[in-house]
Amino acid sequence: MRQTPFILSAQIRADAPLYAPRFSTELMQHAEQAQIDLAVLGEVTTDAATGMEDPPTFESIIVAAALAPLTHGVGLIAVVSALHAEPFHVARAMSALDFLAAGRSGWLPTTAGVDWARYGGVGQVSADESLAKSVDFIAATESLWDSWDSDALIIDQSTGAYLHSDRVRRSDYHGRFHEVQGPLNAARPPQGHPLQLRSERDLTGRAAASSVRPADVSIVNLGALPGRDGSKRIARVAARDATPAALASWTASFDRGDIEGLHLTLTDPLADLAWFGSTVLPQLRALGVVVGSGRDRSLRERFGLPIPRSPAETARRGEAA
Amino acid sequence: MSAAPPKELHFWAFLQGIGHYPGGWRYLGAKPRSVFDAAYYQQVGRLVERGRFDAIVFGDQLQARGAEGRTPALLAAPTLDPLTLLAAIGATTTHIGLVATVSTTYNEPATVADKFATLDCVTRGRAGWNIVTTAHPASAWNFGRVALPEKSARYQRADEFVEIAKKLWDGARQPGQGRNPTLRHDGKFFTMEGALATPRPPQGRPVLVQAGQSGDGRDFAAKTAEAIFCPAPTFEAGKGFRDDIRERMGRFSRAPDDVKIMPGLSFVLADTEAAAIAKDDELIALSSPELCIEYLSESTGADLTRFPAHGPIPLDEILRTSEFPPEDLRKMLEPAAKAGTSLVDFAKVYVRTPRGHHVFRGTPEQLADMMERWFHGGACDGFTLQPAYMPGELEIFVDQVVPLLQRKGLLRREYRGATLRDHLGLAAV
Repeated sequence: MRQTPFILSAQIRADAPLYAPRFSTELMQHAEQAQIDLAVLGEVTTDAATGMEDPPTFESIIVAAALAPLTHGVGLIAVVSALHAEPFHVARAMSALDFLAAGRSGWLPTTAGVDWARYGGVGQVSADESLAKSVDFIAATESLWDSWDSDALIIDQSTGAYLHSDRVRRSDYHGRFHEVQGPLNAARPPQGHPLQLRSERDLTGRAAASSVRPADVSIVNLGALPGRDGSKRIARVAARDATPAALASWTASFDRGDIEGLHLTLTDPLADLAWFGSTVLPQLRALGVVVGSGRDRSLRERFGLPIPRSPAETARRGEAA
Repeated sequence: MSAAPPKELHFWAFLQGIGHYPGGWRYLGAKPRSVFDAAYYQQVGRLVERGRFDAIVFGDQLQARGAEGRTPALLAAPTLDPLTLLAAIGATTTHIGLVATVSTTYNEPATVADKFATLDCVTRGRAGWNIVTTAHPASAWNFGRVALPEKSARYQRADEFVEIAKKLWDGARQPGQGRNPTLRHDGKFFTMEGALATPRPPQGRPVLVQAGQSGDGRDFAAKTAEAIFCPAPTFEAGKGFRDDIRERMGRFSRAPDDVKIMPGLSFVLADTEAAAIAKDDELIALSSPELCIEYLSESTGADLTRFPAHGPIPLDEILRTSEFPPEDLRKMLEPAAKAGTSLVDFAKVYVRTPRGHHVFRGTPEQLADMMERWFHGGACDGFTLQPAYMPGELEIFVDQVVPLLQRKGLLRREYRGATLRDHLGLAAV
């Protein structure tokens, strides 16, 4: 019997009607029943016929926040433009989401899906510079979370001590594309940094480990597995392809240590997730795979990932030890 | 034939951090740890729905509290991002409007249009946008290397920004009616070619809210806003402001009743007036001298914790280090500095009247009477309530003042609609 949990992720496409509360609520009910660990809210997809990217129909972090109180085990992964979004806005919104979802939040910075004409080209970079800008964006955002230590807050009503001033500091991040002074006006998220996903379809997800620090979780293709870079891996597979033979093959990959779970693409999100929960899940369990454990835990805990500390806190605790 | 909607008070709950008083988080009825917790906001959301309020509104800042990079040790500093938080509150409430403050200086129109459209969709028509241009000079350094533009330039940008957002909302199709058509804008500050991400939101547009005080700000509000949040320390100030805005609206061909004037109101309630004053004194006393100096540091943009508390107000040092406009700092500090007031004594007085809002101290009956007087006297259309601490004081208001106002016929007993526009009696867009 295997003990390591088998992680299930679901791709909710950017053109799905997640803006509609009736649809999104029903979808989350199916996701809970299917024991989905990660719901990626708004992965940008390409129209097969036109080759064009399907434009998003909602703002991902707001949808994730609206779903936080209505879910209890599904991780809410916001898809964020690594080319157009501002680190300060994203760091702050994601801090709020991680608090509101009690450690069930994550983000997928993406280089896809930017329609620069909507912004009059403000912040636009050439294709050659897209990777550098997205790496800069991720680092700037993380530097803002790191402007707060995990133990900065005191909140003692009797003494009036609210926080340790010396455990909050400016980021003074100076990148090529982003400059952020900080500190962030939001406390360090419960997970330290919300779980970071990257897609193999993105520039950042394909980049060599030498050019970008690995994500917490990488979406990978089973047919073209990259070398291990330190990130956990979930394999992109179509939920509808979950035949008994495919399940045996996927769990074998898991047993070999190639992957930590699956990232399910959905053709009809409601029907596919309902079918996966009712039909595929029992088959997976029959293969001896542990699914749906630890749904009360943070996403980092489910993957066995540590909670990152700020460099300053690491240094302080190192000195104290 | 339908009757005109009755003239009734409007209430908004301004929920900034843990209450309006800098030391309020220390009070017995305050729950300062709860502000990080979804369950707390769910309770507050249901509380204000029980009080038949129009909306919850969050202010916003795009820089951390404190001055010169020093985050205060005694002020309740961090808050959750308003838009994100309001989306979560919307999920566990059914009627309350959700008003988020978002800057037009540090965003792009299409981004903001998408965010509010999404919020309006997921909350079934309860979104409002408090439009701000960002006044704090330190905000600029969180968005690059360009200093904060001066005020009239910010308002010009805001004007065009809102115009584009409206164009995007108005151009969106109903759900299921296909992709939104591409729209174009070519103006002084922006060019844009594209469409709203979501289908047409339930309210058409979020309710537009403004809080500008200067001439530029008032003109912008008179042209754009459907509700205005303002300080009004006295009845006369409230009436003066409301009359001025209603007069300005004529210049933009708008009917005066198309905007609701919602002055801020802080309050401390007890069974007798003397008990309320004693409670207020107790709340003020929770602001230690050190806290008062931290609070003043934030308001001057200079870290004053480095100076002797009982020494003079270091006006020259403040003018040298602060990024705030020197004329504002002189106006605020010079009289006290010339009079030889010590730093700590000035800070203590400053903390008593934060942001110039009216502070009511008295019984629930007295507050209900005061509200009736202001409302019938034309000083306001309602109030933006800023409880001294949270959630205790707001619970007292809902339990004790709301029934009195309902008996006077000044407050709805039930909601008459489901959207924020319904609550405000505003026409659908």
